[in-house]
Amino acid sequence: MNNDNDSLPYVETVHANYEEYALALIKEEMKASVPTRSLKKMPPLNFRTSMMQKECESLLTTTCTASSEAAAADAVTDGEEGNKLFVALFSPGLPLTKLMSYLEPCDILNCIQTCKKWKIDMNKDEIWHEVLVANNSFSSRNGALDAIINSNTTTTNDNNNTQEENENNTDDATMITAAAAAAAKSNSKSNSNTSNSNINSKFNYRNMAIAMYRKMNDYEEGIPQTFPKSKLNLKDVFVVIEIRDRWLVIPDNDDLMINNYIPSCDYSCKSKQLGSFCSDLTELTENKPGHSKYISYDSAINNNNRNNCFSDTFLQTKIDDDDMPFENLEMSSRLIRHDTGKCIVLNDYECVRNYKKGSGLGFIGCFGTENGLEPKGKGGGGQLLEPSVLRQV
Amino acid sequence: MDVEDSKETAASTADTSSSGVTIQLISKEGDKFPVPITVSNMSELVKSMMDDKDDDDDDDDDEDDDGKEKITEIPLPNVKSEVLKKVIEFCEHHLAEPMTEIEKPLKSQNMADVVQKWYADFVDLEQVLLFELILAANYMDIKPLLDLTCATVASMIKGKTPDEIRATFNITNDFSPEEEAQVREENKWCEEA
Repeated sequence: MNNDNDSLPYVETVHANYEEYALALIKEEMKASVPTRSLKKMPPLNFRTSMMQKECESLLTTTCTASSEAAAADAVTDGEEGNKLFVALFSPGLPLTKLMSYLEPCDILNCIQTCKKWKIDMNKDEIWHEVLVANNSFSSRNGALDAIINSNTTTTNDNNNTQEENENNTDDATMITAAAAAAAKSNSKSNSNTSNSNINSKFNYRNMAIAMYRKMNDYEEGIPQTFPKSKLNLKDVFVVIEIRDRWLVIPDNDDLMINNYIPSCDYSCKSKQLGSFCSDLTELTENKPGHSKYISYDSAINNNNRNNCFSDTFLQTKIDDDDMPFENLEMSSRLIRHDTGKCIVLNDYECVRNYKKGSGLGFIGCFGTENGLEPKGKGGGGQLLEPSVLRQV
Repeated sequence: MDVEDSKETAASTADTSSSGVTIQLISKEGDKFPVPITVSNMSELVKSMMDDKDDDDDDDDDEDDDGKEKITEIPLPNVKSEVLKKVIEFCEHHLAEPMTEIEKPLKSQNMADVVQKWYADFVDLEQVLLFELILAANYMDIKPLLDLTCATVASMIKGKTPDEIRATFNITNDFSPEEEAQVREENKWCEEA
């Protein structure tokens, strides 16, 4: 550095790389420093002159425009302004999540197939969580869905279905749902940046959203009498069960409350969703998960993780003493393939009591219950029967 | 741009408002839009800015020395005049006729089926303006407007195939054929396996 004409004292030549080194140090320091408290809102600026104000505003505008344009340019190869704006707009954040919450899972899967950016942005847990809640408002309010989603904080080391014993029988369902939530959480952590690589995982919001949504039957001609030999493993199939209490319509008394349910004006919705359950079929087999040839449930086996797994899951809503007993318990049960989303509806909100009377659909029997799913005290719900008992039903 | 018309509308609303306090919203281009405080308060951003101003001016009266009403100016450097005009139009109408909550998921591709006719007509816009409206609603934190605009875009996606979605929004397919086949396989809905 030539300081011949400089009045400053002579300084030895700075090392050529010093500035870069110093800059790197500063950057590192800035990255490492974490603000100890949230920043206070800046008070409005007072400008001494109008010119200063104008200058500041133009600077702000330029910065904002530049950053949004950079985001758009980064994301899109197409040159059109509308497209740039569109993709920039739906970068991860509130609008994308909100937009997705208005769509059904099948529409989101279609969006994911449009371009790379959406494939990454839309396959995130937060998006699917929003979709899951938006598409299952009843279940999310009253059913096991809440437990699955919100029980993340429940301590469990049982993600892999280890046979750890639990002292408290009543917590079985919570344990299962907590394990599901934990599995979903861990999946989302490990796969958050790999878009669809979590497709084979058991529990995540994406799979649950799809499974819960599939209420229609893919086999329009009805359930085939003889099932082809399946090549699927039980772990490849979701079982989704929802139970509701059909509301007793009493004319001229629309304000009547039954079981905490406030009837709406829409008569088609007069039922109270009691709960829902989403699991893969391995949860319903004992001893060798994933290897059984049929779904079975044996309450005699001392396996607290699996015993009575439905009863507490169904009824998340507390029932007061003043509540009326259930009028018509109805159950919908569906089997859904992980990989294709194909769905078999075993029963679509058929009244549970129909099964007991041995009417037409009774042969299915898979979800026959020993007490007809009539309330067991305040617990509600019933237990699945052993296969031998089912045959007699 | 017909800023003057909007000024007149806003000003007339301001005259009839019970509070009588008028806020000047200043767009990116510097156009001023006087609106009653009831309208501007639908924006959480403006509301919080007003609160901050109130904190600063708590010693001052609402009126100047000569008795004239004090007009507060709120700069919105991220919102164009054209967009701000639409935002104000929405807020004014929302006060008169609140928008019904849009059901999730959308039950129809037609916005008129899910929301009142005025709102369905309101969002019958060119895509660019619609997206800018979403940005403005997000920036100004106006929840009902954000709901409406996002639902509108969702209605444009609902029931469409990936190709149709691309065509609707002019999205470039940047997947290689192999990637496209893979992503289709991973995300197919109920095609025959």
